[in-house]
Amino acid sequence: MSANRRRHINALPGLKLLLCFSIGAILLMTGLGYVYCQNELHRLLGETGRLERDSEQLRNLTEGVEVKITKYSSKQELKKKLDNGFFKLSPIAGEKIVIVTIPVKATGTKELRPVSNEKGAR
Amino acid sequence: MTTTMNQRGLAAGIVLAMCFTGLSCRLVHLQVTRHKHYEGRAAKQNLHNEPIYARRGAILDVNGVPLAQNEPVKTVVADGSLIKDYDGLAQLLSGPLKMEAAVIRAKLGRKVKSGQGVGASPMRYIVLRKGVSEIEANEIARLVADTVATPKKDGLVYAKEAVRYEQDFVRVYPNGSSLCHVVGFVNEAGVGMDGIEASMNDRLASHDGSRYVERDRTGRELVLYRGQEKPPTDGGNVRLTIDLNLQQIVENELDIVMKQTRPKKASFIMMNPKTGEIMAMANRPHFNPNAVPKQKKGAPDTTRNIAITDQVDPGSTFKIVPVSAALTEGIVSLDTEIWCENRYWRTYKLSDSGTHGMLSVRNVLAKSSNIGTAKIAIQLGDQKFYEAARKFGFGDKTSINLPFEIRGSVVPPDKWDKLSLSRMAIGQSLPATPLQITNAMCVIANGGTLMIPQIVRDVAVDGHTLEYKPQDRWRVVPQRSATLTREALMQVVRAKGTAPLASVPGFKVAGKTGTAQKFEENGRASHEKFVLSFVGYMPAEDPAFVLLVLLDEPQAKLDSETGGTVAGPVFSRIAEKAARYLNLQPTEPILLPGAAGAKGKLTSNARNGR
Repeated sequence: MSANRRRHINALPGLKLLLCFSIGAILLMTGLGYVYCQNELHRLLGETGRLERDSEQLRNLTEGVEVKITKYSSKQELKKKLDNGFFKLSPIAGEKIVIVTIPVKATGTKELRPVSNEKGAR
Repeated sequence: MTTTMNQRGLAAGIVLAMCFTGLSCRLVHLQVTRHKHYEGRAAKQNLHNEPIYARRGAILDVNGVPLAQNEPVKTVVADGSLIKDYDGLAQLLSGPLKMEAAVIRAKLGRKVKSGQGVGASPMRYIVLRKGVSEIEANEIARLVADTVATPKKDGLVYAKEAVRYEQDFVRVYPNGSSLCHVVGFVNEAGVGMDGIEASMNDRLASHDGSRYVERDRTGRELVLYRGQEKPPTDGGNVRLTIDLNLQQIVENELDIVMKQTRPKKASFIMMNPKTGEIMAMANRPHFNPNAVPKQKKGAPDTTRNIAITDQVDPGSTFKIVPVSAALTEGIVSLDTEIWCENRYWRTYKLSDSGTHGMLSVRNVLAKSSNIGTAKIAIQLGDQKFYEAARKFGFGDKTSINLPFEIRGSVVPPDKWDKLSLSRMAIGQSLPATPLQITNAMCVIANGGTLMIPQIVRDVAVDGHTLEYKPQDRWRVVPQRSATLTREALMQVVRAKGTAPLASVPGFKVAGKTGTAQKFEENGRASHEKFVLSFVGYMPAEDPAFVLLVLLDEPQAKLDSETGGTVAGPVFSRIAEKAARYLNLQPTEPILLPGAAGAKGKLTSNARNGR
């Protein structure tokens, strides 16, 4: 190309443009990132709030159930059920009871001698 | 021309500059000077202070079994301004709320007069029902949400927000009337009114927290903009010294004896003499703390813990005081013989239930001789007798951690008449609470020390446990006197004593009967109204418990109305069951029912017992 023609072509400041685009892109990405992070923060905190409410509700439900369990297994309630014949106590016959006495050391030796009710254990 | 242009430009510039300056000033005024004011207004508009609920502490027995706890419930509230179809909503809610549709409709239709007094608008806060369980509230919320999701043809009948559910807690007593006087109850505001609920209210009370929250247009919370938060403080869990299993043993026997003898009042107390811990405490009449009865005029107040708020004459159970004091002073020994005037002592107009001539001090207690005890007290002297009674805790609060305790009364010697000492020695004219009588017996049982009755074992707050240690007040009598008195008291439950029916097979028991006459309105001693009691301990050598059985004015016609024959057997039954539960090892040979002479001998003596 002749020198005359080259004079009429505007030289592009490539480096400057690249710098501008890069800064623009960084700013854009930062902005978008910020917005994205803000949205995520809102979403996650919303989720946290929901979980808090759920756990509180679960705690209330658990406590409610605990109260019911205590109430239905209370001695007063069991006595009432026993009186109403809902269930009954059946006596255990003497021969069915195994009485294990304290092991006695055999005289002379230092071995333990097991002792059990001869009639009872079956 | 140029000058004119320049001037115009300058003028425009100045105007613009002034405008911007004005705007800037306004901005500074709004943003800086009035910052706080507008921040407050904005906060008021968007911020809400929401409560964070705390729980009142639970009350537990010594083994951690709940005696009082909280049930989370919801209060169902409606907003009338958001409802168009009142009948539809009333119909929808009637099932799950277990209320008639007409009742709900009437509530929903409530109006409030507008500020100017012209016309009426729907009420915005209508309580439909309190105490709805969490599960039921969830069911209602689901039902309402489903109906809103599928609206009628003519549009939305009511908004989802028309029905709200506010958090609440109700105090639940799972054991009902059992131990009601000890546990107590709370009022509607959740403040303890009686029993441990009242005396330990400061420890049990919770403090709700709060949080500033911001909501968006749809009412959803913007968690990011949460403001200042005050955390809730749960109440402490109070663990009692009461053992619910022992309490049940005591209450079962109390119910049986109530049916048999129909007393006006009854009080049973089981106490550990070494530590002063209350192991069981039951009174009749009683009430259900889940539905506290309203006090009716003339009817007995069932909510009163008569073990500490009522006073009775202790009767012969008081005789341990003059006898142990006289042993301490060295005035008598157990074998000192006392002339018991053959039933009637004219000088002091005092009589015995049986004819006794010479009796040793040991037998004065065993046979519960009024004359013998009065003579011992007279030898002791006015001042020393008075001091002994006070030292044993009579006329003074025991300082148990329960509300409304009374002192009882011991009249000082300067106000006595000629007969006072002889009457007070046998437990008359000396009103005391059932707890004071039990605590006095604990002095003998533990070797001579007056303990402060303890009902709270510990309080657990925020993971820390605050323990309540046993406390003694003072030494009343030396160990030796207590041991000698115990020896005499062991004779009471033997064949020749006043309460052989109080004996427990396999164990040595020490105790004292009490048969106190009540006084009529005219001041005369009644021959029909008695306070029957037995207070004893077991095993006598190393007591695991002291038990008082006290029946005030039995109404049923009984063959024999004495502490030994009525209260004694009840003591025996409770003590036997308690021994099994506490795994006490028998120390005495157990006589089988068919053993020669055993049963017949006991029964014939019991008839004469007093």
